[in-house]
Amino acid sequence: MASGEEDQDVFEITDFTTASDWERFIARIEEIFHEWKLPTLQQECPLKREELTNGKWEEACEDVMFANFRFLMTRYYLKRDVEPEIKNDELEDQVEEVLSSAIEDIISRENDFPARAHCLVRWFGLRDFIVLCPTVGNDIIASENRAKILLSSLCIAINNTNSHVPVFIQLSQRSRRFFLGICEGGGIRTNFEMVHLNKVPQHCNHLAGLLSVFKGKLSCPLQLIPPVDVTIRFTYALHEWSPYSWPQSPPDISDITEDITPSLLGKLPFGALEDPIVELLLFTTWPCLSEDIVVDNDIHSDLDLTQAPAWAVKVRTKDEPACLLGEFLEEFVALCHRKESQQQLLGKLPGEEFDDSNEISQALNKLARPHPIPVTLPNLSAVVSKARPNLHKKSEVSLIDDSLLDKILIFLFPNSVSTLTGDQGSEKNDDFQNCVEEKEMLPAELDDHIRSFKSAPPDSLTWRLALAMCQVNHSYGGIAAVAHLWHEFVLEMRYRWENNFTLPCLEWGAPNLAYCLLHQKLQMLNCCIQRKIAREWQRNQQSFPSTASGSAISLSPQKTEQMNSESEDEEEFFECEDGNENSEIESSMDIDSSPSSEVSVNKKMQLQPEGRLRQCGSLTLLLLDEPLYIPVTQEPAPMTEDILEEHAEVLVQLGTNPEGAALRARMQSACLTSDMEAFKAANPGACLEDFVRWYSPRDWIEEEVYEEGTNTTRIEGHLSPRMQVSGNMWQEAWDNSRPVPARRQKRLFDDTKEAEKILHFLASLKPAMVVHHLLPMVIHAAILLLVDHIPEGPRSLSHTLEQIAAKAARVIRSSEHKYEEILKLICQAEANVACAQSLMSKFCQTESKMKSGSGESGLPQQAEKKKSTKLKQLGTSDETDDDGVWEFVLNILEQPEVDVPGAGKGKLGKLLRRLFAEAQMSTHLEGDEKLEFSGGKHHHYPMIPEFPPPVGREFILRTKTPRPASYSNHSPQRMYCVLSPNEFRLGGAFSEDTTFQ
Amino acid sequence: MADTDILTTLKILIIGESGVGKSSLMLRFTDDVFDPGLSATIGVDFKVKVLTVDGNRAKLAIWDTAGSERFRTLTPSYYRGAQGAILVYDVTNRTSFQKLDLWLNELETYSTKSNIVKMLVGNKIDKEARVVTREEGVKYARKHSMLFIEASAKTRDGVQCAFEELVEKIIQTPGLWETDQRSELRLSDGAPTQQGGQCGGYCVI
Ligand SMILES: Nc1nc2c(ncn2[C@@H]2O[C@H](COP(=O)(O)OP(=O)(O)OP(=O)(O)O)[C@@H](O)[C@H]2O)c(=O)[nH]1
Ligand SMILES: [Mg+2]
Repeated sequence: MASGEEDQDVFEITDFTTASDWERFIARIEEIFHEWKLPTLQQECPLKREELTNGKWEEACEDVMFANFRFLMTRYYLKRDVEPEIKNDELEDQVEEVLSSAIEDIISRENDFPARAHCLVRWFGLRDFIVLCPTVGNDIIASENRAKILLSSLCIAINNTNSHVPVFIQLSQRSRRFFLGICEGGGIRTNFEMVHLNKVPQHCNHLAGLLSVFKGKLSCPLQLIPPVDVTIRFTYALHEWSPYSWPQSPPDISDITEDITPSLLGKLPFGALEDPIVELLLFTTWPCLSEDIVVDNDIHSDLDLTQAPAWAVKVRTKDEPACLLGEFLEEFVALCHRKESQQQLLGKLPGEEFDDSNEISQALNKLARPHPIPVTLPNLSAVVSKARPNLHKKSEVSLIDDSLLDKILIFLFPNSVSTLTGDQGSEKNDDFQNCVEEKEMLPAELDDHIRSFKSAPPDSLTWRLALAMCQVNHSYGGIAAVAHLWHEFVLEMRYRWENNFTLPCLEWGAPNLAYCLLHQKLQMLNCCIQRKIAREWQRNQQSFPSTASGSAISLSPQKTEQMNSESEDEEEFFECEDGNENSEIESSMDIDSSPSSEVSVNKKMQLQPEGRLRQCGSLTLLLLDEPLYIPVTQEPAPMTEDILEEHAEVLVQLGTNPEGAALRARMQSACLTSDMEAFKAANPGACLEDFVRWYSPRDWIEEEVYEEGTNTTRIEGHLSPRMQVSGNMWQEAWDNSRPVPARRQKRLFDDTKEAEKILHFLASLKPAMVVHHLLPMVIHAAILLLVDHIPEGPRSLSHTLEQIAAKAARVIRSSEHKYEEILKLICQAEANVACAQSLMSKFCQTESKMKSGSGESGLPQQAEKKKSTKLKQLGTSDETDDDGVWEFVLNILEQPEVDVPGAGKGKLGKLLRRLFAEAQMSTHLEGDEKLEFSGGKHHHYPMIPEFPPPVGREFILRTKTPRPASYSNHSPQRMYCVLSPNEFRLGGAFSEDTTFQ
Repeated sequence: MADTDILTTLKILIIGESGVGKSSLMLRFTDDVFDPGLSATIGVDFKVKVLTVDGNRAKLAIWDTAGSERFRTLTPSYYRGAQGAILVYDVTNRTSFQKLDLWLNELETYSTKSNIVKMLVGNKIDKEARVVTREEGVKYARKHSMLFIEASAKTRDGVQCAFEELVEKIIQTPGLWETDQRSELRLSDGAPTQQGGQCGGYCVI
């Protein structure tokens, strides 16, 4: 196919028609080299210390075909801020002499053992290189022949393009990481070679052997070989942690059942169930020794790790350790995808048929009425559940048992307890109001995000319900338990509505649209209950008018709850449905007994004024010279966001033409009409002008009129032009309204209907939907919980949480609730905290063992725990007495590799030695011996080495020698060696002069 | 007029004291008429207009609210989800200018988008009895980071321009109107990662 194309390509200047696959392959490589601008690369300044680890690496990738064998060519290079400084003046005449940066890199001492890097970087110290390897799924390059063809092709391409970047080919299986490479430039050619075996050959098992391999390879023509520069690193692994119990013993959920307390229900659990720390690696390094000052051969070794000048530590953690919070959330979110209905899970639900809920109400009525003698009563929910004998239990285990259910319901409805026990009922609500405010200082950004969560205020009813559901799902029977608790909750809602008990732990007033829909619905239900209470009180009031006038007291709405739940004398309770300012109530109450003088004036109108709130400034009626009164008016209907949406939708549906607009105005004029009627009732004989002066004063225009006759000016008022237009909406509404005080008007807000709608909404939710509605609070609570752990977590936690919160705020608001990702991030954050805790406790336990010295081995456990928690609490503050241990732990979590100050002789070094020693003991000793050892007498067991054998030994050998001939220029030579129990690798970079061969 | 080439639908609010000319401004913009006999608004009113700004066609759903005190418990419910708000005062009436603080506050409380674009419009500049100077308006707008223009619903001065400017600004504000959620979350670089994308060297033996 390819050849067909090329045949037609007659206009190409280069004729490829006769080119072989091989030629095309080279041409393609050259093309890529040009694309990457390799031929024009300038010499860069030398690498700085650790730059290969800390710098920013980039990659570029291209496909290359050899016949129909596909290769991937990737360039890895360090993105350097410092632009290559071109020393123009000096280099001008020797441009072709630009040295490859690789020549510099392979003998640089600044970047040995980078903590995180491509293996070729680790082996050869390169900052810029290219790898050619077969694409995944393709064959591997196994034969030497093929390797040679590839290398020579690369060599041609390099020479043709004058590119100085080393190029490698990957041979054999990818996992073997076997590379050969080549680099040319500035008159030096470097060959990258490799030996890879599964076992360390006997004669190479020490520095001496490796040195002789190196020197043999160099076959230096000089008599006197310049001394080889050696850098050595030994790695020790620690994965035996049994001497350190994992501090986070999982709470035994079944235990809690016994004394499950509200505080437990209101909290999500936190922490890892297993030790998230897998292994600790200790790197001991001897940097840049001269070969003749260190002895390491098959008989003797100078390399005692405790004497090594540099120590560093790295920790490997479990990828996804089992964590409590994560587990809770995952299980809860999983319910979102369940399809079962309440019915399917619980069987026939008696609550659905309201005729037998009567029975329940009666039982509860008895309960709610305080008894003359305080007796310990079975609590509310117990009665509720007993009153429903025909609740089918599908399976015993899946449903919450009665006593637990009681506890949960008490947690959700704390004030019903106080009704029974005689506690101060209002306390809970006050607490609640306070705790909404109180939350310690958070980073501003994080705080902003958390505030913008569309959930519910912490510790509100909705919040508690969410957490309780989460608990119930995890520990008491999954989805069936959720369905059961929801069923109970809905019954309780109905009970409260029917029996005039307001809901606890909710802010009062119209639904707050900043919160989630469920919370708004509960607030709305609360509004309905309050209105109902007020309405019924008023009805009582009217049937016993004598008691009413005397006891008109103004109450803040918060008190109603208390009054209502505490006292049976409901007559004392007062709330005026009509009043929008309760303090004004008295004036409205006075009306029935209004002074006779006013009555006489009003006689003309044959009307008694009704429903006055207060006088409107000093205004008087235009026609009667009577004070103008503001009437008591109905409050507009509270709305939840879904109702509001519906309303807006209806208004939009009416269209944008004038008829639509008129209809829209008419639909919304209920409130205006109601106000007009109330106004008329309060101000008999008033006209529209009077109404406008109160209601829309800007539409009453007063002008000075000069009167010719008396030579004086007089103020004259009239309606604005828009109010004067005949037949306008206002005029029409005024003409059609009768004088009716608010109290006798049709309710603008039908609390009964709204309450039933909400109860129906709640009852018809499937468990999956319930979970869906509760998730915002659960996520919110989880994030707050993480926030609480900021002091004991890694430094980055606060920033991470900010990002999680920002994302959560978006997800909660969006219509498709994609919680999975948030969940993952939360789990990760939790695991990170667990890592910090685990490390801290390991170090602290060791430390206190060292301090307590010998003797009492069993006891320190307690003290250690205390200490470690103390340290954790002190957290990041500097005044800790942990001598930098916490600091060290944080660094470990943050950086790929952390230096141990003072190496083996420093405080941390000693701690680490102790850790290793204990692990050694624990693997080598049995029972009693162990115990004795942990008392600190390890010197009693000299036969047990303090450290295990190293899991890896690395050597970097470097020198500069003239090659290939004695008169050649000195060129850099390097050999990297790694010796581990199941791997032996030599990576050599051998250079030679291409000019003087 | 296919709906398909419409970039986005924007919700615009018009708020301000009663009688400053909110409904008149809306009517001038949507139907290009001035009707002195327009009733004082009851509750909220609503109109739609498609506007092309910088080659982007945006459908505007304009919500005109009643300014009278008594409707104020009702109207803020409709602030939800608005991307832009036009605050109107009457240049011949100082009270309407002084009450702007209250309207801003109202907006702050009830609008759900924190970065809602606000425009201040001084209306009725055709009238002679001006009492609020242009400079005062400019100053107020600057103080509260709003767009500003003076206009007359009667003579159509500045009306079209006001809406266009507002829409342009909304479209330029990232995150205000797009429905897609782009910003990707990356965990901080400091978090310990085992394999840093590169084939981790020897240390992971
Ligand atoms: N001269 C002049 N009069 C105007 C202008 N705009 C509005 N008016 C008049 O001002 C009065 C009020 O205008 P509306 O548009 O109804 O005012 P509004 O702000 O909608 O008032 P509410 O609906 O009560 O909040 C009407 O009589 C209009 O004719 C204008 O630009 N110039
Ligand atoms: Mg209007």
